[in-house]
Amino acid sequence: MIRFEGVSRSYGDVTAVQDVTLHVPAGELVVLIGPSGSGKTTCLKMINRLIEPTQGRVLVNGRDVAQTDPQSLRRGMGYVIQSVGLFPHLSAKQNIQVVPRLLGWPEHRSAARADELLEAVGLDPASFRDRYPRELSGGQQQRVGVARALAVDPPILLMDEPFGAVDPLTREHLQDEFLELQRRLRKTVVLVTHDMKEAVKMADRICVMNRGRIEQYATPEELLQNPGNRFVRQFVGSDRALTRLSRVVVGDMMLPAATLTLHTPAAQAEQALGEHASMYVSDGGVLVGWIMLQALLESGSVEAGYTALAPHHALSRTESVREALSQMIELGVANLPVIDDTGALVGQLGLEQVVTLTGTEKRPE
Amino acid sequence: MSLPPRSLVALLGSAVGALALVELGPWRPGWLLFKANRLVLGEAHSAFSLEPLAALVLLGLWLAAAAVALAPWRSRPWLLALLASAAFVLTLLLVAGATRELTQGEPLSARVSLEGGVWLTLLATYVTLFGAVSEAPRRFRALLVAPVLAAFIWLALSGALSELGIVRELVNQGGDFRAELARHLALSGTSLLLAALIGVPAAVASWRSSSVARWVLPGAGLVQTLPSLALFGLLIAPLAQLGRTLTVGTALLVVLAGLVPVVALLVLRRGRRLEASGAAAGPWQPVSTVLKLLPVAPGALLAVMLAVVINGVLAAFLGAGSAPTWPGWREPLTVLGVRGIGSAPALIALTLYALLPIVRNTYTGLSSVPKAATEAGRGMGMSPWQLLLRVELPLALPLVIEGLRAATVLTIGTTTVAYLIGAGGLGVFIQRGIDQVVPDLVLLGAVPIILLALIADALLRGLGGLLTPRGLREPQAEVLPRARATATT
Repeated sequence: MIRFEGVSRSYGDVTAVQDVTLHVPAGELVVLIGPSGSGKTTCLKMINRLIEPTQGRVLVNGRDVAQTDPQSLRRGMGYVIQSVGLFPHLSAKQNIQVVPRLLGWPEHRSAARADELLEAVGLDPASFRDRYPRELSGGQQQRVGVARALAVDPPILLMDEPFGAVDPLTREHLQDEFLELQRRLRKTVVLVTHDMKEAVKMADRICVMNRGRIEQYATPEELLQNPGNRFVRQFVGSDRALTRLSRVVVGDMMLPAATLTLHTPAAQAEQALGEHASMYVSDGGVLVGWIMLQALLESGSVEAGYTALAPHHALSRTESVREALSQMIELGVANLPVIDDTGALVGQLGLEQVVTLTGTEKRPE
Repeated sequence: MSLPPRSLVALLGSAVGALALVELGPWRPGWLLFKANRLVLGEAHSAFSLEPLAALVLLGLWLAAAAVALAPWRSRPWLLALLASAAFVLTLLLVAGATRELTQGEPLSARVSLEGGVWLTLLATYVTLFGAVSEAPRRFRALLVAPVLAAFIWLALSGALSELGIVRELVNQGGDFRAELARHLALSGTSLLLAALIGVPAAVASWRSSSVARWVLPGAGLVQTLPSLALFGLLIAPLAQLGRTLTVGTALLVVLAGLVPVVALLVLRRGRRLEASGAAAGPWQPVSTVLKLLPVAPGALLAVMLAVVINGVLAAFLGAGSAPTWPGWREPLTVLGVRGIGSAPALIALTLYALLPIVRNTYTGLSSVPKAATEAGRGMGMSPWQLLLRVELPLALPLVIEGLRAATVLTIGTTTVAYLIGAGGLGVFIQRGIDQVVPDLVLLGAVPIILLALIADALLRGLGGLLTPRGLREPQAEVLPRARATATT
């Protein structure tokens, strides 16, 4: 879909991008990551010709962008920037309508599209369409920014640190929502960030850049498992094992959990607890707590001996294993139950499984 | 809206109002000056000597206003406006009554002039009302100044002050006043129109290209440093020469010839829409620079011709002279009014002076457009023109209007010197008044200029408010409830 062929860009003596060759497959989300000045933003802007390469060429759908009229090229690509860049004198709806209007869509069509997109990014059209950027929070502005980029349903989205300007909580929220949207829309996305966590979470492929060159271009798993060189190893961080865990969700790692119910006879429970160190207790399928053999022996029944467990201490299937690990450390336990939306126990995750995930890593050197 | 603990502006205004009345030792502000005729020395009357009771009430009003200015009441703006308006109306009544009394039985040559005390009182009213209005909620502001404006209009229509010197001079000058006022307005209006037509594009060009900015911005500033008299002197010879040598036909031909390269340049540009920095210094660069400079002289010629014609039409429309007619191809430009003296040099000088505020404000407005907005616009595929018209100018508009406002106020004042080069305007009366040592005649020129400037100022402020895009306006109380209301529907 997007192909860099030996692309360089220099400003006088300074080389911003040097001999970059890169292929972004259709429908994938590729993250360009690197420290400031690594050339990632320059690369992004060479795709829509905001910057022209001094050497090499950039192809979109097999066509050299240098041969394409920059304005029509850009109208065919969504563009989201860190500071959002909503036009302050236009309402949310009018901001979304900008490109449709440039393309001469009739008003009713672009207005309908604006509503549809506001809905898609989680903003109620009725209350948000006429608001001005000043009347929106940072996260809402960013959502409108994404909606605006999607206005004419371009196959390609260019995003320059799109979630950089919002607080961490909102950022995670926006990332999740965008991933959800991306799963449905399957756009070809090039996203620039310097946040490794964000890259690992969002990317199908990550391109690590440094001083204008590509250091490594690989899937997040590959990158975390086999950092290609010292720079990449340093850049992904010494906690890369943990970072890898954020790519795996609890649902994929959990094991079935043997359970007792509140009314399991004591003898039967005693036998079961002989095999497991502790067991979860459910009532009508809903997780209520856990019990250890000793507690059962002391109290005489499951109902009297179990320790209640708050639902928010349990894991959900969609949580990352990294979050699960953090939860275990916080609570000081080696095993946590996994529940579904209704509170029903669906499995458990133990420290042993987490360790097997990271243990396959080859030793460096 | 929470008020500051005291309104220093209103306090200052009230103090001035009180000072205009009190007599302490050598401080004896006169209110009216009576002269048996224009030439003799007059005798000054203070407010207390004219109408002691009214003066006392007036003093009370100002002292009350001063007290209110110090009180942290929510109703403060209203009370201040009420007190100042009452003081203003009372002052008018006092002046009208006293004037009638002083001129009773005197010959028509007798003159009663307004003295410092009255001017101070007008200043006090203005300052106090300004303080009140600036603290009032936006939508009530017009209401606060309404009484004073109404009193003013009543004053103008009723003839209550017809015995006053300045009004007698107005009657004396008769049709002259109407004509000079028309010339003044036409000169100011034409210069402003031209300055806007030149200044806004010049500012846009400066914003787009730093090589243009290097010339335009200091150039506009340099013009301001030239004294108007010197500028007039410099313009006489070339304009006279131009008017004599060029016929209307050749002038139009020159203009047309100057436009061809511009069109050629635009067509060339359209052919290759390269805009990245790498492409800017291509082989076309020197050519396009020359092409850009070529139309300057014909452009200036066109501007002068347009200015003279527009000014003539405007003045005729407002009631001075007759509108210019088509002189024929072979006539010299002098026939159109392109001469060394008269409106042409005045228009050129006034236009040049008006450029600076317009250029500078437009440039500042464009610079204040958020970088993110322009980058987003470009990244979304706007052409430079679309970016300018849909993003940059709308966002810069409040400052552009502000520049126009400043230029208007400046120009209305500067037009006063146009009489020096024979272009007429209200400056004529000021000069006549100085020549004849008649202060009232000076005032006949000066007061309308001040009023015009104030009116233009208010109108353009209002226009600026109206044209500010809603998304940019200061957050007002109405914004949030509106958003909430739509959220619940």
